[in-house]
Amino acid sequence: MTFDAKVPTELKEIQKWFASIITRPIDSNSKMMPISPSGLKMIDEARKYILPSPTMQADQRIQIYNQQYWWRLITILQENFPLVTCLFGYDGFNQTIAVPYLVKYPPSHWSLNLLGSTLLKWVEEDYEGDDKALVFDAVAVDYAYNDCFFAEKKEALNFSIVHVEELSVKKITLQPHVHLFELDYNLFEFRSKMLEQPVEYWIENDFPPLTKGKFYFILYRNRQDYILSDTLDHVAYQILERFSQGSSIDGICEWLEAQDEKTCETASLNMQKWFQDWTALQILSLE
Amino acid sequence: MKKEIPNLGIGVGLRPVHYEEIFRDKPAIDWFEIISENFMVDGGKPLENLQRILEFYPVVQHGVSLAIGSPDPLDFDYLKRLKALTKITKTPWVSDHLCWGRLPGANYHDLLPLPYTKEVIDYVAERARIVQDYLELPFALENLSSYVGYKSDEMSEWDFYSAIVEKADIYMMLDVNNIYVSSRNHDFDPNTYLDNIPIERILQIHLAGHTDYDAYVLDTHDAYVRDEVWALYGEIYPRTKGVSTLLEWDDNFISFQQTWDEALKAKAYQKKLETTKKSDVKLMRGLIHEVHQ
Repeated sequence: MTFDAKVPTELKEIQKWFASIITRPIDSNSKMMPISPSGLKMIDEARKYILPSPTMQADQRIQIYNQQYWWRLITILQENFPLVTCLFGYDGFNQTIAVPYLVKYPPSHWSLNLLGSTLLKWVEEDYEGDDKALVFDAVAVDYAYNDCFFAEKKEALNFSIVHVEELSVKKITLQPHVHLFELDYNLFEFRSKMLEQPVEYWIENDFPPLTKGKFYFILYRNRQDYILSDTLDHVAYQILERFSQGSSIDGICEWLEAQDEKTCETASLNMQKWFQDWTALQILSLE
Repeated sequence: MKKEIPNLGIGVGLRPVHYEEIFRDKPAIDWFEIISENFMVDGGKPLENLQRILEFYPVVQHGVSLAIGSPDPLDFDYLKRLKALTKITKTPWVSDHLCWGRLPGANYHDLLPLPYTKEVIDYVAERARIVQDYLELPFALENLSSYVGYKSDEMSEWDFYSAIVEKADIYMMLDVNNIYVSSRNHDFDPNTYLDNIPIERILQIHLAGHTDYDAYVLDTHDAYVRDEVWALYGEIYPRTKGVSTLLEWDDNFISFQQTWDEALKAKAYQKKLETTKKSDVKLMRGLIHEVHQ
């Protein structure tokens, strides 16, 4: 990442200073930090670059941009991570998640769809609450919904037009919009119940029960481009996992041969139906 | 300026909150403006919705992320995606903002004001010309609502804006609400702004609502267009030969029909004022008053 060779020096200096001010967190009253990064009072430092208006001092004027930066980015994170926002409430989400995340991973891409793309990494590295596992999974599921909405849809695998011999060796993958989850609780049911109520509701009320147990989920976009989730059988999940990394039918068969008897039996009983379902849902494609 | 710019009539900014109403009622609106970046995606619902809109309406692309005055090199990955979208939408022109918004490796997702200097004119004009050449479509820059003025400013906003579009040989996407907002924030006469820009370079006008906090005015796009802004529209529209006009509404949404009704108020100014001459300012102001009664 470099500067344009033709950028005027004075412009570059103003922009660097401006950015250093507007990206500093605002306080709970949405006020900017009173001391500048260089140690001067903001009112004195702002005067070096910004003109006052008849109604506002230089520091008050740049504070508008400081507020807009944070309000805009935090609002987008709240929209993109609705379950996580419900878990913490708006203020808790802002202070515990959004602000520290954006300080460590400020946006670098023009697309706001990618604003939360490193939130999972941040939770793994920096979040220290007792509920870390739940927060991690909630971030992953919320992000998957967002990604599923925008992801590409490739040409779906059509078993009726691909030759059988070709199919046994060609690698099959999942559509880019498909996400698989292995969870220790029914987070999808929990999520849909949480999102039935406004965020504020959960400040005063108990969360719905989070059913414990091994759950396997698929999240995908259907033919009409609606986002849907379904529970999966463990063996079906394992097969789709292999397809997500790219696998031929022969590869799946080889893998099955190495599994225990129960897995093989489940697969042989259900394989035909699973493939019919996955083909109808158009979630498979050729690599 | 070589290309004939069509006057599409009156349009509204396309927002997801209105999709259901638009798809159900197919309102007889002249055209829609889209935020380009919302559709510069790999697939999914946004592009499906766009295809449905394109079956019935002309669509114009308006961007928010070019950040042309930023100090890093032009982002040709972004421009490639933008150009690819123009092939889908068949947009007659592309617009974005006269601002900056990035440093190398950082994106601020805001329309940040530039210092009004001769050096910046040269810098931005060259980049704007490259963008227009690359896109192979008329390219327009929009004036900002701004909340700061720089100590290093060497000229007025209108002189800066005019110089860039002239030097780059591009167009103006004139936002009259932004002129009003900035006039309040920087204490200038908005009519002086209108009197000192190259009218023939205006290819589109934006209208929107704002929020008045007394000490400053914020461009919020969440309310009806204020009378003062309609008055400015009434001043500038007759001076053009008739340009596409668009209402932006981005928060505190009202129904699509209500939004469209608000946009249609522009028609009254266009009809009543289309024969009015620039010199007939007194008559024009009387007509504006009449429209609002």
